[in-house]
Amino acid sequence: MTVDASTFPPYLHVPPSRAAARAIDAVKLYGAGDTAVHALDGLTVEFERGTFTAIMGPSGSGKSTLLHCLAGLDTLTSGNIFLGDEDLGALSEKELTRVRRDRVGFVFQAFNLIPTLTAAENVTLPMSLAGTKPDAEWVDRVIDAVNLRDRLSHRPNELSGGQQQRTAAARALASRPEIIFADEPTGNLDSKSGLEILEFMRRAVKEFGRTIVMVTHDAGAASHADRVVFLADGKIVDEMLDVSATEIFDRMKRLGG
Amino acid sequence: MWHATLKGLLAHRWRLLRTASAVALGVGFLAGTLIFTDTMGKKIDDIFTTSSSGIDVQVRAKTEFTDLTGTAANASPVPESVLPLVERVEGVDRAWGSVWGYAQMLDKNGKPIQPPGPPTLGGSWEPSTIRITTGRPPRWQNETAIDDATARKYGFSVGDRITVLFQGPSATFLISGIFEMPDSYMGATIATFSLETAQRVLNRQGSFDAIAVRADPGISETELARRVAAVLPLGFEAVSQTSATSEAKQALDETMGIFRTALLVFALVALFVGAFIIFNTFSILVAQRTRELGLLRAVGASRAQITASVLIEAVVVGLIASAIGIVVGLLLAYGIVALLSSTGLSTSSLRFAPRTAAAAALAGVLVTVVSALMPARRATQVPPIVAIGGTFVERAGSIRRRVVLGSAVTAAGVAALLAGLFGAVGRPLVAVGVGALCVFLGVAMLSALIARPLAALVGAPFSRAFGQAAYLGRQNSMRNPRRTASTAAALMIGVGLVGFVTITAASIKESVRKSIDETMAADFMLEPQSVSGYGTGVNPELASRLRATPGIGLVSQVRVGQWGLDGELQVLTALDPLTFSKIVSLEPRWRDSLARLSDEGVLVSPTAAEEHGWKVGDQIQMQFPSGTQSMRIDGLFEWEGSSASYTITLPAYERIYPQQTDTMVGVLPEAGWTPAEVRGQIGRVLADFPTVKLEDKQQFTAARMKHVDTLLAFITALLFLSIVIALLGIANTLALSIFERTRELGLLRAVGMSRAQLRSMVRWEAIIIGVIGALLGLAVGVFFGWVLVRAMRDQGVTEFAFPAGRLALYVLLAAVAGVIASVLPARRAAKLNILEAIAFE
Repeated sequence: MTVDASTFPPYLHVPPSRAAARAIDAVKLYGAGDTAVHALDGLTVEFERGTFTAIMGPSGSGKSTLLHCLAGLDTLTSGNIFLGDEDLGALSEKELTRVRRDRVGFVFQAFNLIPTLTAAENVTLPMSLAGTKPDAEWVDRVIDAVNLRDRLSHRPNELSGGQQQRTAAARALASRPEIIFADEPTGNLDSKSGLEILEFMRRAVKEFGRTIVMVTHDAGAASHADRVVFLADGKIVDEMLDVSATEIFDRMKRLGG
Repeated sequence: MWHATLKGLLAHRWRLLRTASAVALGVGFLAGTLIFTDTMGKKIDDIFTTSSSGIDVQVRAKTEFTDLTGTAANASPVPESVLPLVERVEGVDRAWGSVWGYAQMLDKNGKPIQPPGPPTLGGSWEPSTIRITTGRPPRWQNETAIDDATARKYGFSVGDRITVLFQGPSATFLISGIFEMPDSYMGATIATFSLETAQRVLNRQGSFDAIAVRADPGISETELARRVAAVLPLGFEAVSQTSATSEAKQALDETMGIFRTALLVFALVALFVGAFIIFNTFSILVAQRTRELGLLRAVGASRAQITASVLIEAVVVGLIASAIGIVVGLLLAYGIVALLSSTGLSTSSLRFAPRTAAAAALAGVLVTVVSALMPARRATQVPPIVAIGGTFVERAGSIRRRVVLGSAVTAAGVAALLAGLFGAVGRPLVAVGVGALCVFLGVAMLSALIARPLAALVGAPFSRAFGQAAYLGRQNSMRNPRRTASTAAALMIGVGLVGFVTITAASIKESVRKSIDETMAADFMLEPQSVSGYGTGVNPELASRLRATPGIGLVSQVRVGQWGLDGELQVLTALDPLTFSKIVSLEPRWRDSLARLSDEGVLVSPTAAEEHGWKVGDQIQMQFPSGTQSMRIDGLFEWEGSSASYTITLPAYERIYPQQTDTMVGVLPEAGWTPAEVRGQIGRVLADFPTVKLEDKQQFTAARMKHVDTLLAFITALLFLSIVIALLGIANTLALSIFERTRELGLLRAVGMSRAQLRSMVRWEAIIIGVIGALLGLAVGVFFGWVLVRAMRDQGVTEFAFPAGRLALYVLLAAVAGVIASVLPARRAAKLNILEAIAFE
């Protein structure tokens, strides 16, 4: 299924949605006047609950900006971001922090862990910050899923790159967030470790019913997703469902990425 | 290399300024001290060149030792009969006697006028040195002329009545004139009277303190002095005004010198604390720059060039610190001088000697460069491979080396300290200072080894009670124990010294309290109100009046005198052997000694006897103002209430000393009278002696504690600057650490840490560093205090007090200080843009 973003009507009234997150007419401008750059250029997209979406696009296409805005790390110039039914644009800095802590999970490309905390402490960090008790049974399940049981008391500098990313993935899941955002989670890993992470994310969606949005430029990684969204120049230019790495690779080549 | 270094410095202007300020405050203290003491020195010079006009020669009694207090109280008087002898000398234009002493004016509400520090003086009218501005000089016995500063401040004018307190009964006068305050009195209040009146109210009938002589035109000072000396009886001397002035000036200069040295010691402490901060800052900067240094090495920079790049930065920081320090010093000196002027002391403009600039520049640069030497050396050890991702691990031997070196330095410090305190070296103060310095250095080195467990321990209750932010703060304080330790060490010095003086003061107070408690048998003690300068005595008439008062059973007087032993100043007490043991509890052997004391004898302390090898029955030569006398040692005696090693009887004192004033009068009630009744009886007599205060045991004790507390407060205030500098150090370390942890902070914010939590995390790290500093400081301070108290056992400090509450308060204050230090770094950390922080390299 291919959807042209420009055919969507403008949303005047937002009806309740099954989407875990939505961006509507999202515009993000960097700079001002003649030198202004549209990182997001009136983009609209939805991420359904219980799905694994990969966002692809050449460098500068706006994919990271979209992820940051969806995650409440950055704000739009105009348009709306909804997390469930909550309009992030209407939230204060404090409320955004709470959203990130309680409703969103993160996996970055690198430097995902706090060096002074053990793996176990890193996994439960968002809950510790919230001052809430982690659901021990759930955390145990997550830790077993990423196969970290015997590394729990280790500090990040005692973990391999793959173990570090798995710890980050476990943290992203541990607080049962509504949605998990991953920014090139396999970018710094060897292929075996990368595969482990991707398989885990897939399990998180299929077995645990989580929602994941992942930015990547690796077609192989994107092929693990249910759906691939292609971005160019701040707009969605294509969308594919359940595709192979080769198809994605071909599509990317046509985008010039 | 130069270019790159300077460019780098400019890029971090704020960091540069922050680093420099740590040294700048110490330099400022140094410069301020020099500027202030120079200004006061200049002031002293001015006074002695302007005030002496009109007098050419002074006639006075000879003294064989220098009077420490500089008061005339113990100088022999010049009999009136000498004046005609002087007047008849060829070349004398005019000669007049003068007397000076304690006189305190009351303001219009009847409150005594007390300048803060300078004395309240009364004296005879000096015809040629004082210039009247309104009215005329005092002529009759009911007249006075007062200084214009007092007149202006308290609204007195010619024709008003004014009451003046003396050691004896007070009296009311008519103001006949107001005179211009001579600069030489430096803020004192002055009431002058006709000579006869002054002699009467100041209790100097028939004598003068000195005779002033003015020469006929054409006669030189020295010539006149020679001629006058020729007619003087034995025991008197004629001194030219120039040499009298230089003597007085020398005494003042010496006092100023002692004052300057004391302040400089505190400036040194502040610089020492600053050195720690420089060391720490440069260590962190070198660590943060490891990559860059590796790159420089990779592209061919030599080790010498690396060293130079670090040291150039140190020199720049030092120069900036010196420049700021000089400005701070000027402001400090200006502030103090302004404060002094506001108390009535007219002051000249600030004196900024080239020497001050040189000292400030040298101190700033030297402290900075020396502190940066070690970090510079570490910088040269970075291998080029680091540039391309290799890691730089310091040699494993460094921990063992640290243990050995730290222990050695600490041990050497303790040894020097003990040697200084227990008298095994020639210059004990230097030994003590160097020893203390080494102990601080050694403990700072060793503390890096225990900083991690210490931070864990200190932080544990916080993280348990205050959640994740406190936990993360604790983890941060543990991650780089060396950095935490040397940051805390800067605070350790200030807290250590404050803790040390606190313990010492508490021990002295406890010893005094215990000794008074055990020895004071009198129900009441009478003492002079003021303790310094003029008016230190109680008129003996008070004791006679009390003896005649109903309800009073026993009155015992104690006097203090100065004398010389081979020209060295000594102090003695004079007492009445019969009644003294009734007002003071004494050991039986000392009571026996007292019973044997004759009017021609002296009792010496066992310490003095041992020191000079005296035995009971020996004759010793005591140099009194009135001449040397041979006194027989009648026995050994000491008394905890007095530090004087020599004791004579009151009749002996009356024979020897011209002035009779009591230092202390003990009173016992008559049987059948209650303390309250006796207090009332004494109070009625005291109405005529307004300068005397009445104290019971508690009040007497409290009065002695007050001095100790004042000194403690003064020293603590001077050490406060060192603590402020240490706070700058904490702030600096935090700022540098935050810079280093930018990405981590971004991540924390991304996964849901609020700004408040982030600030709180930084705050907890600061609190933990502060508390560690305080704990290390108190450990050192308690040790210093204990050693000093042991060393002062012979001086009567028998108790070791451990004021736990007060010391705990210091730890709490250190925590608060940490909070203050963390405000700016924490705010900066909380302001970080999350996305930029995450992308930060």
